[in-house]
Amino acid sequence: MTAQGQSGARNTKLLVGLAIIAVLAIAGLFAAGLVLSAQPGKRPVPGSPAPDFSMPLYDGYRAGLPETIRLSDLRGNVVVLNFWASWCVECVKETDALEAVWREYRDRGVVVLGVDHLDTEPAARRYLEGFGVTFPNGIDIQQQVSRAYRITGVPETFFIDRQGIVRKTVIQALSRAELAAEIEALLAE
Amino acid sequence: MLSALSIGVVLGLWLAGVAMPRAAVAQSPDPLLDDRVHDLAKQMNCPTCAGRNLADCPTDTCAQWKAEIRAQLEAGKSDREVLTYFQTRFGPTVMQEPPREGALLLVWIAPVAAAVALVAAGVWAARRASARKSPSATQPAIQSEDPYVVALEEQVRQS
Amino acid sequence: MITDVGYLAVILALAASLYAVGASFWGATRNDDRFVQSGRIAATLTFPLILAGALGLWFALVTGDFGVKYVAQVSSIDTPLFFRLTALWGSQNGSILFWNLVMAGFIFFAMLRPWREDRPMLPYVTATMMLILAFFLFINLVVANPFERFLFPPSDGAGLNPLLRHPGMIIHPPMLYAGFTGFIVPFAFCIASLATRRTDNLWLLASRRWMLVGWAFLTAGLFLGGRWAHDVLGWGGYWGWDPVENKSLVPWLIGTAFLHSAMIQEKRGMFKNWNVFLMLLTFASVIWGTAVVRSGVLTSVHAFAQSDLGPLFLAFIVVMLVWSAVLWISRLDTLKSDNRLDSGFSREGIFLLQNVLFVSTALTVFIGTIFPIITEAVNGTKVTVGPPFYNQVAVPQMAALVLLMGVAPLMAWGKASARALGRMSIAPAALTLVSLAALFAAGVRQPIPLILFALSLYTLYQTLIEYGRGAAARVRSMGESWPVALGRLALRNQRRYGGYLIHIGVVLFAIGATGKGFYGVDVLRNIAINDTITVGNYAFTYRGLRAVPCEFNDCRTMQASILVTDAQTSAVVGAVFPHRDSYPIQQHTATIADVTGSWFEEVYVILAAWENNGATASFQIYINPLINLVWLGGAVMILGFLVAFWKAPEPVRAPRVAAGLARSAAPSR
Repeated sequence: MTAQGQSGARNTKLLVGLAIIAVLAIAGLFAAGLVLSAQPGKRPVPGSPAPDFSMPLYDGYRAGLPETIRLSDLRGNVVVLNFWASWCVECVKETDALEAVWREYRDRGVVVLGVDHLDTEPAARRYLEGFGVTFPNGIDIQQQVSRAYRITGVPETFFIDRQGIVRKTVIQALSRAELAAEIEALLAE
Repeated sequence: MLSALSIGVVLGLWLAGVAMPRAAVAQSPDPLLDDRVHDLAKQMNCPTCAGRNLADCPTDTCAQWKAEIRAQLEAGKSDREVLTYFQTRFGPTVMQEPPREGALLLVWIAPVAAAVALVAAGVWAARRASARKSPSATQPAIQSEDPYVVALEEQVRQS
Repeated sequence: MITDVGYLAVILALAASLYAVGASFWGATRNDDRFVQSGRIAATLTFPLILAGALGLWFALVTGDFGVKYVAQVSSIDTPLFFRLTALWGSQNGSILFWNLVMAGFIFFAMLRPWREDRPMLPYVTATMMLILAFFLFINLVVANPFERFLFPPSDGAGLNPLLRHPGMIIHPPMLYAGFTGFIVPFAFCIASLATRRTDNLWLLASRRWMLVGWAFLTAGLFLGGRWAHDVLGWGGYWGWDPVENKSLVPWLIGTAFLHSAMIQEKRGMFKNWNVFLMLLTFASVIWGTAVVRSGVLTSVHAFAQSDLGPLFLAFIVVMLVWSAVLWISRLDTLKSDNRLDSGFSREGIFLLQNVLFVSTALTVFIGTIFPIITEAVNGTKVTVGPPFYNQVAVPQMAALVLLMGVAPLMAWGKASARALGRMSIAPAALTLVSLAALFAAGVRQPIPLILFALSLYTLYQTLIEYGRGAAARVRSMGESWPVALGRLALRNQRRYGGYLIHIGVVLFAIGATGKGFYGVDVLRNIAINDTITVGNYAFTYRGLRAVPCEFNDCRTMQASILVTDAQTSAVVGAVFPHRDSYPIQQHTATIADVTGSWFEEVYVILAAWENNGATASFQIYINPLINLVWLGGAVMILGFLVAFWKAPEPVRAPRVAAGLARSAAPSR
């Protein structure tokens, strides 16, 4: 083999090697994506700390809380974190219950905090006014809170105890009795 | 040399066109509000269904979002302002194309970069492939008794 | 009982395939032809065995045996017979069985072909195909088994997904599967050529027709899918850059690149490594495509549900890639080019550029498709990569390919003459300019569609002139009449003129896509009953809404009627009856459009919503100019394939094949 042939062979080997590495890298990328997305993710499970977030509250739905609420500011309270949307059919079933427990327990150190998910403000306001809601509700800017809590849809509710630990997650509408039972249990600690 | 330059210019223009942040949408010549809402909705994702755009989506959620777009346009907002509002409020995932910023710029640049890399590699490799025969003998003798085929082959080779 | 026999047959098929792998390897390494033949026979048997399995499942479907879980999943008592049969591929588990059936069919014919010069490759071809089949049979039996039974059979099934009750949807999966699995034969030949060190043109010649067949099925599948989307999905278009569509396009792009670069290797002995690479990539992309759709990782209009198949497919791709790569690297010394690229300005150079563009387009579509998975894994946000992305990044590359299609036939092998190129470009360029002027005068003013039309028309004229030039040579030298000359020309050069016809089909498609894409109108309008609105050149009068009997037993239909007339002349264009079918059991609503208009301009109407019992209704109105060229283009492409593929008993064929083999038999070490 001539010198030119030898360097040609080397170059070919190099290119072939590069091509194979490139394809394997792409396959690896796809694999990584598959594997990572298949994991349940860092969804807060009972016993894990509730991810902190800050959320602007709707005007008129602050209930004495600051304009932008941080979850950590509510430490010491039992927090019922509820994800909802005005277009959510299931949510309709629990809004009255949430409002009722808010009125019953707000003086006992319980905060019912609503997170409006993928919603438009006019529609959200119409919904809240329609139900006569007074508990604090906020806009989930850039879906930060929804992503932090890895919600899969609405309604979803997270019960957070006074130390900021998630104690129960529910992926369906709750009745007043169920809400009260869980709140009482967390208050009793 | 000239061909390389011209390919370079074309690629450069394309890359610039793709990577530059741009105006949201060409203003539709038809000023009807319905059409403006529709045009904007086509650039956005349906928030609740998989992979469909907002315009094609029949659900109530989408109807609400389209109503919001309409309300904002009626209030005098421009197309760009409306899209920015939705992106600020709901995040970049609300658009039908990835934003041209940060790491996501990669999805725009990568294919062009790959094309350039492939062309370069291919030319380099092809030129260095070891020669076996001299160029003049590369075309084999035309193997056919049929005079038509011979004539055609010759004509093709001359062209 | 019959179904259980079918089940057993599939298990036997897996056993046969595993045996065939072992026997083939044993026979190859020991040089014992008896084992090679035994492996071949076992491989041939897999098809009748899997067919028995499919028949068993069909029997269960036709007799409504809801004890079989799959039958309950995809059919019900009311399902008509025809749909019971097509329900075989209606859902995940059955469709994998169907995939295996089609793949085994290709293997069957590959095993039965006469093996002469390529006989040393036989054991490796058999082993490769059997390994792949064994994998798919394994997942079909272990993870996605359609023969599973309920302990307590239900009395009725869920019924076939309404989206699948359309002729397009019935034939589109079989076509696609035939396309994908058809590539298994060229892939196996590629591996065999590496294994046996016969890395000359032998494997290309042996697998050329298989590759063409796979390609043709894939093309047909893509167009049929587009047609189905247009008719049934109700968004006025035919391609949405949906992940499931993309995963069929990527193998098509790479496969088309391979078809072209294989020509270069046959003629000039170049690009050998590239062809091996493309073949591996084609097949890897087929497996990736099927993995992406069946693993449930991508949300799409028509993906299968979440399953465990993702990791298995991934493991399979990685193993296959690594194994092929090792084999390839170890054979690099046999893959030397016979010639070098003298000049980029040549047919080889153009083909290289075109190949690179095909691969980069495929890479673009691939990146766009998997990007949402990556971003979701990295920071939880599932970014959407929708049509705007592809229109800006992929379409320009495809437009460049259309241009290259027109330029390539003008380029000579070795080194092209710029003067000759210029001389021969004058006619098509002139025709293109005239056409552009006409378009401009007719109102086509935007720069981008003008450019796209220009590229397409240039290539169209160029290809037609090429054809005419060849026929003119015949008329001059042989005194034939023009029709005879045109026909005989194609018959004696099937590959070339079949190819040109395919190119014409592509150009027709490009023109249709440009027309619809840039001059399509898409609006949402609300009309009160007996009112008229105008969109474009058409007036739409809403006549009313009523409930009509639905096509099937499990749905309810609301149908609107609209009279479409010409806005200027008030001549009647047609009447449309778009309807919405709701399927309460399936919790699904289908919006079915109705079309009217002319062949050149389609008027497509969808019933979007209604209020007050139909006193007012909203309609999505699309006006799609030139969309029928899209379907025509696809049909012409298939016609071109038939011209290229049809075996004509002409004597001129023999010297060509012999010459090809003579060139390839020269040792390439």
